[in-house]
Amino acid sequence: MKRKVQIRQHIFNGIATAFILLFCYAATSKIIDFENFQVQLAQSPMLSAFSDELSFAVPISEFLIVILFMIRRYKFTAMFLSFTIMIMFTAYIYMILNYSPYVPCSCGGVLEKLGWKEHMIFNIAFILMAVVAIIIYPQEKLIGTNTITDYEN
Amino acid sequence: MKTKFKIIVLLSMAVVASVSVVYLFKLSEEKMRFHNSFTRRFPPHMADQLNSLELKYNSYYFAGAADGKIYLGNTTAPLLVTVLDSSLKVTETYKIGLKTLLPAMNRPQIKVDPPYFYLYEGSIPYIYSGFIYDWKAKIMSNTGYLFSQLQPIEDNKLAVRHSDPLTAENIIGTIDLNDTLNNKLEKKILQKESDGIFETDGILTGDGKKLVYVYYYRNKFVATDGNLTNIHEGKTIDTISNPKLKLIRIKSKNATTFEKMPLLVNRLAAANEGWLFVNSQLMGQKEPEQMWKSSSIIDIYEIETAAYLASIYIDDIADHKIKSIIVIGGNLYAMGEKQITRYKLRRFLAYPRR
Repeated sequence: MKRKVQIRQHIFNGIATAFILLFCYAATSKIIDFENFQVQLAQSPMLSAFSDELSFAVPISEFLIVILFMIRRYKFTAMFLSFTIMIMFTAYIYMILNYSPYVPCSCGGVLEKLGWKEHMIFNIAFILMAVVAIIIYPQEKLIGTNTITDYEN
Repeated sequence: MKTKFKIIVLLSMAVVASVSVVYLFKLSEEKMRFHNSFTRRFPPHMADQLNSLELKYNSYYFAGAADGKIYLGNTTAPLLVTVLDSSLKVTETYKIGLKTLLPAMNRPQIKVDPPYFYLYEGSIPYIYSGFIYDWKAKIMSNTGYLFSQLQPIEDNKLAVRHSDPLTAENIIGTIDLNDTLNNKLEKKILQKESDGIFETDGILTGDGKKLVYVYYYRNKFVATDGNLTNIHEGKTIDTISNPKLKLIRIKSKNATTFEKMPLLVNRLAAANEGWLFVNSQLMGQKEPEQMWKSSSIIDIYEIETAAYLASIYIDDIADHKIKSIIVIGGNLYAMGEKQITRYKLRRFLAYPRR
């Protein structure tokens, strides 16, 4: 029983690490080229009107989730938030591919769509990972000891 | 936490997340397209520069375009018509033959709307017309009214901007060359606020189905059908809703003129397949100044809904701002001093919006 819990914890931590890497990379690359990121958002066919607010909100939330992952008692919450933010990103791509007046990408022709579709598959993979992590997560007692009190078989 | 509960939380979070993104999208698009606070967007590959055609003279102008052909007129050789194909190769040149003598025309202009072409000046009220098969023109109309711009609508039917004989105010009207009894004036199209002459000045254009009048000095255009009914207004994305004009009356000359150079908002316009292309003179928010020095900005709108779509840069040609534009078959052609440059527009701009 104990072993099973440990394996689940390892899987959860593995997925959490993947999210930490992803968000760190995503947020950092946005901040390093912040001006460019702002311009790109402003040029987005969907969110251009709120590009100023979003250009701050997106990297800040990404870093926030990373921080929550690193605090033991919040890592389960962080996984829920990762799930939510990935759903939002994916909904954004879905809207762009289907309802936007134009696809905002710098490459032409077939690649234009392929790039976004691949991006979408990537996102969906991460969403599924978050779902798996949340479902298998062995709930620890939040206060005090490490004894596992609440998990299912 | 039970698995069932986790799944319920996940599902509800997914729903909330997707709905909020969709809502944000709706809100943003609504704001960008209809309540734009002057933020342009320049999507990549909206207009890609292709080839150019060098012209011998700077006197060429766009007389019309249809069926993969572009027709050029020439102000210094007013009866000469040059035909280009869509890739800017000169295919034919014609000289218009006149069956009747030309009344005192100084700078006649040509408009081509296959199978018809028209020859007119406006400051004298005659209009010649003929077929492009033989380029023979005869006088078809003498309305008595003077006019200053002409836009073909369909079979020998034209829209013109008249000048009211008494007040000199601008009025949009139509002329039916087959039956001048059908001629029409519609005072409701141009919105008069003060003088009705300078403030309503602008560009008359159209895409064959709709007529569009773009004001020079305010952020507005008016669209109407060929019968001058169904009038609706649209807003260009800048913020100049009232013309900034200072007029002065010179008594000795009995003339009214500009006291100060007016603030020009919209400089050029062209329409095609339900899309309107407007060259604006005003810089929006967060735009690189460098681009304004070396290019002209064209804003694209959907005529029917007056929605703002996107903007494109058109490079200056030999350090000169472009003189005029025409759009046909998914290409935008920009006329420079002695050169025409072709831009390939995104494919969907070649068709009316679905």
